[in-house]
Amino acid sequence: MLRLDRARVYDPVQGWRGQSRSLFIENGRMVADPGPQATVERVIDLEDAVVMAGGIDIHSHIGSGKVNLARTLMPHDHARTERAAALENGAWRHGGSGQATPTSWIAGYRYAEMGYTAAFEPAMLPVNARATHYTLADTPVIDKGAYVLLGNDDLFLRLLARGAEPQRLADYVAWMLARTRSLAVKVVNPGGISAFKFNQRALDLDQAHAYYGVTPRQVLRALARAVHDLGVPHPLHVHTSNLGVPGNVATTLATMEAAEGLPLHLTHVQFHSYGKEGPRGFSSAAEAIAEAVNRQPNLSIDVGQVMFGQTATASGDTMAQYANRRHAHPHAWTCIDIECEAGCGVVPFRYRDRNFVHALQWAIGLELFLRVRDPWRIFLTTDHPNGAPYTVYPQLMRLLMDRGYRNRMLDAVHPEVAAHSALRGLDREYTLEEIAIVTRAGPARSLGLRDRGHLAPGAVADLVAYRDDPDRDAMFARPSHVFKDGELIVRDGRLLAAPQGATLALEPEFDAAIEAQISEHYARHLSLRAEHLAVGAQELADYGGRAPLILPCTRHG
Amino acid sequence: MNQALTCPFCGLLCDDLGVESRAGRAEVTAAGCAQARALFPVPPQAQARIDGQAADWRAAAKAAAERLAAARRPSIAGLGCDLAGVRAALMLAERCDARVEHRHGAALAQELRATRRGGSLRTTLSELRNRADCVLFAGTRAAAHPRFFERCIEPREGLFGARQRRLILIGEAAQTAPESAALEHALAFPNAHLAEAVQLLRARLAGRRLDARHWHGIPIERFDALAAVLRAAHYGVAVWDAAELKPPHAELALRALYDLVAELNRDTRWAALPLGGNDGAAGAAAVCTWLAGRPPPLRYVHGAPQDALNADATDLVIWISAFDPQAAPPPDVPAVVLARADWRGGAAPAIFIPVAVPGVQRPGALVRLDEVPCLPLAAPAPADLPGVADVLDAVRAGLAGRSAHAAA
Amino acid sequence: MALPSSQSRGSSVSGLILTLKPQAPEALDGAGLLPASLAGLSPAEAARRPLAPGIELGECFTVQADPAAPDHRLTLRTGARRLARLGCAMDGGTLRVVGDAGDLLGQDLRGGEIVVEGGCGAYAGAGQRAGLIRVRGDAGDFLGGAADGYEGMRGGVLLVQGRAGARAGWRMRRGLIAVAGGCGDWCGAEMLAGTLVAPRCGARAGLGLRRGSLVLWECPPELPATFNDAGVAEFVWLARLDRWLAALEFRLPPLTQRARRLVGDQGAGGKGEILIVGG
Ligand code: SF4
Ligand SMILES: [Zn+2]
Repeated sequence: MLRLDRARVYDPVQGWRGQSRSLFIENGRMVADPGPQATVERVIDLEDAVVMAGGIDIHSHIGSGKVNLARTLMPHDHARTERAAALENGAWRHGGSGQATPTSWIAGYRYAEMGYTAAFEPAMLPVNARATHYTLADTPVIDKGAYVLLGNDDLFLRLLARGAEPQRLADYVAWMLARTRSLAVKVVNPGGISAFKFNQRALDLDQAHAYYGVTPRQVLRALARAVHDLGVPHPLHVHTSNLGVPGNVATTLATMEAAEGLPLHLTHVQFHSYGKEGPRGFSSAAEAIAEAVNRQPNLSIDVGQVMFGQTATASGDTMAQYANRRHAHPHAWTCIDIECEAGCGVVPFRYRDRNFVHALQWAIGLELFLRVRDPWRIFLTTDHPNGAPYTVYPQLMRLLMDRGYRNRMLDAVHPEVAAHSALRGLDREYTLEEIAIVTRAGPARSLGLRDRGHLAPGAVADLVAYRDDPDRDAMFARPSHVFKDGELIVRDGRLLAAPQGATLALEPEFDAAIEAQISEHYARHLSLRAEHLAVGAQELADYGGRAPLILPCTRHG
Repeated sequence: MNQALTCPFCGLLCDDLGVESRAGRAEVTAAGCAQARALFPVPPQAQARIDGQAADWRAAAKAAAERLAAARRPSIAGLGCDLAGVRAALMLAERCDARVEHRHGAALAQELRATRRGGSLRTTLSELRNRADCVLFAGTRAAAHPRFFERCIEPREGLFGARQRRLILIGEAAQTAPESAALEHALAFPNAHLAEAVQLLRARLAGRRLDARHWHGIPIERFDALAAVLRAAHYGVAVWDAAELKPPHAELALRALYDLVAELNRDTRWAALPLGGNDGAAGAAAVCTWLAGRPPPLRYVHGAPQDALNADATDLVIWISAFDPQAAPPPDVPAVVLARADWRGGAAPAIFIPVAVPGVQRPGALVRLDEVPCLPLAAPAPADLPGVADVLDAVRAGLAGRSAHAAA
Repeated sequence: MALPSSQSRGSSVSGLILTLKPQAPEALDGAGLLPASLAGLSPAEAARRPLAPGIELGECFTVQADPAAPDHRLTLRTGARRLARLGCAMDGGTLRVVGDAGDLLGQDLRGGEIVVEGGCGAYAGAGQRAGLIRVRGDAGDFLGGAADGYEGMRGGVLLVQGRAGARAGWRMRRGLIAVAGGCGDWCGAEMLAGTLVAPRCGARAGLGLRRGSLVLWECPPELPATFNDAGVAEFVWLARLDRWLAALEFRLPPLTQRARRLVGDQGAGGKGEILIVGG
């Protein structure tokens, strides 16, 4: 047994708000205080460090093929490299490269070094599932999982257009979830990626798909219902229509209503909170969005905060990314129509603080953080790498916690932004408890990770200790201790060990008839067999990962 | 009999093959092309050798480690293997600062360089099969992918009803007699002129006047007619194979083709489908990119991945060819060959270690030529041979403590 | 860390001469060998500077003082060995290479002068922003071209006394390239802007040219059919260019103002030109 003394623990699930206490760990799990007689093999004095469960990134593109595309389009991002080195335990820390699009080995190390112990790839195409899981298996230390991308595939759209029963659609969703080893379902520009293949260049919520006649609203509702009925813990993960388009706030608000009370998670909402007021036709609509979130308890969001610098935007939304291609920096971009299933678009991008639009995007993200009242329904993300690489999280936490710092940065960006954003008037400063909610407890609850995101007895012993420091950026960037499954893996920001993390997945049940129908569709029309989408448990272990850890589906419709 | 297995012997990864094992050898019984039928049968055993002497594969791996430790400029090349093999190759290269190359690296590089210097709209096999009403074959007839026509072009019945496809050849592919009446031979010229031909097409598409009335004997009006056909497509696909164009200037043709596709796409839908990916090239590019930040060729310097700059002479090559029995390592360099049991790609190498063929003798995974689908490989005729990754891992273990920077 | 010469310490106020040792590792990257980072150091101090992770400069080079030279002048004796990325991102001072240079000479150059007594490899001046590169021998392919991760040349001057390989000026954006010995095939391919001057060049010059000028004395063979003849005219700026090159002591046949103008590439927007001097 391992005992951690003088830990000022922030665990919102247990209502712990920083009182100094001891924590007990055995066999990789938290255990209750075993009393004075118990044998404790090892004691670590945390010296009143701030302790939280390991960070959980609910939306980070670290595994899918589109990130690999982004890497190939950004050779300058990979010019700076990291050397391989031996770790203290004799294991090996692999080399790698990339800041905005880090290679997978070092992506895992960097998460661990800032106290994150889980991250989830939010956009996995079924045909790319195997490569995604292999990449995640090559992302060490952290636990991981992926959300399967549905809603633009021709089979689903056909079923929907022909008025298939909700049960049938749920079977279809369950089959895809189970076979591709996914943890949740994501929809991107519902129906719009498919519509782009039919030469539609925009598709609003109630606009009909040129071929199928269905609308994004129908796609959204059908998927939200299926996800709910299957008892998938995480609500449908939605990237709404009109990504990045000035005035898209109307679509976003309408999408929120379209759920009709079903749980919905809207992702990287910053990119969907734009008005078209003002002399430049681009304005903040964060207030309206935040109010709608505050009003509708069925909704949760993650922000997709923009921070300044070079990055890459990578999205399944070919329609939007094709429209964005002119902004590519450096000027190389790729959009792919994929397998009658979905698509992807990669546009390298540089956010500049002296650019009005970019700086306002930055302010809109912060406004959302500060205006949404319930921290359990808003999660901290940059939509890595779309808004910025995840390595900016410590700085982002400081922006949320330190109003003076925030306003100094506001003074430094494009001068008109302060006038076009209410940011300066927002006094709120996040507490450590709120940070613990938006970066671990909230995401864990939303994903159905019952034994993560908190430190109650039985929880996985993923935890992190930060030396208290008024400079929250410095504090969160370099934890004094990080434990993964009870093992000390980081000391003073330095990696000591690089164990393999778990892959978390669901295995919902489905009617055998859907399997036959899917097989028939693939065999007859597509260039690969449906059974080859399925990722085997053994196969992941053979490649060097771990067999997936199956989480229960809980709710039933 | 095994139904619907994936064939690893070209980048198409047809996954509808029937394969049976007869006396330990796999035989294609349904759906494979001649290439698949020739390459699936592989002997279940072969002898590992060190300098011609029979040895156990582990001893051979140990000997390879010793030679690798003594080499100054080692390279791991060929790289014809599954994803796990490529991963193992990188982990080994990282320890001994080796160069990592793929046999089709030159074509890969042309494609990569073209996409890094502008926009690219691409598509995949199922989209082509179901949507395309016009296919422009630029300098290729997809000869390196035997079932491309059968699987992607000939099916007329698609998800969106029957397709009348216009199939148009330009370049060298149009110089020889048609094997199918469906192929229209729009413009015949040597592939070396492809870049210029595409610029001509772009000029006429943009409505620009040209002084020239003819180009290489072709009246300019023919370009106008072709431009009109391309513009009339609802979903057009431009197909090429960088391996059929000569590096290093092939990239100019590819760049021009991507620009042409993007220009056509302003009004209607167009996308490109570059062919390639043979000998596991697409998978090698994918794994190298996610682990080392770049496709091959690359090199490690002090355990950090970098672009390979000069094609420095190498003094030891670890040559991997699990799929092609004839792939030959570079001449005049001592070679450690990890290859299928019936490998006959040249003179006896310094060290030979037979490996299981992924997809025949051992399960694995590969990436298809259109880069997104990643398919499983089965083992219809399992053999008692190590996988490429097993051997490379053993070499790495033999290297422990020897490499230049391990102590640093 | 680079020390500006004004803050220099130590006894030395002279330049340095580094001579490559034959036993230096093969995969040696010359990017760190900059006048500014060694300025003011004594030979012994310079020898202890890290060249690459884990490698000191003195392990690869013998270091001598060069009393005749000021301290911002660095001389490299490379012989026939081709060190890549010499003068990478250099922003001042003088780098003299006695012998040959490898690929990516003066990559991302921001200022100062690089003089190579021998030849150089591919991609000399890739991404160059300012400053001057002189190569007395021949240059490899892609002179001033867009290496991976870099744009083509963006400014400054690149002068080659010998011949240049294929695709000189590829994707160049700004600045001036002059090649006295002529260029290979595909010269000026996909050039975005800027000026490239050479007496003659190989086949298919200007393919994909968007803007910018190729100035030649002979019409290149196999000129792409996407160039139109705009006739002979007077170009005052050619005379200015002639005087400027003369001031740089770069020898070319005399440039007349009169030239034939070929406009293209019509496939790539048609805003570039090939000027054939004399008409
Ligand atoms: S076309 Fe290629 S993948 Fe298909 S069967 Fe033939 S060799 Fe195998
Ligand atoms: Zn995202």
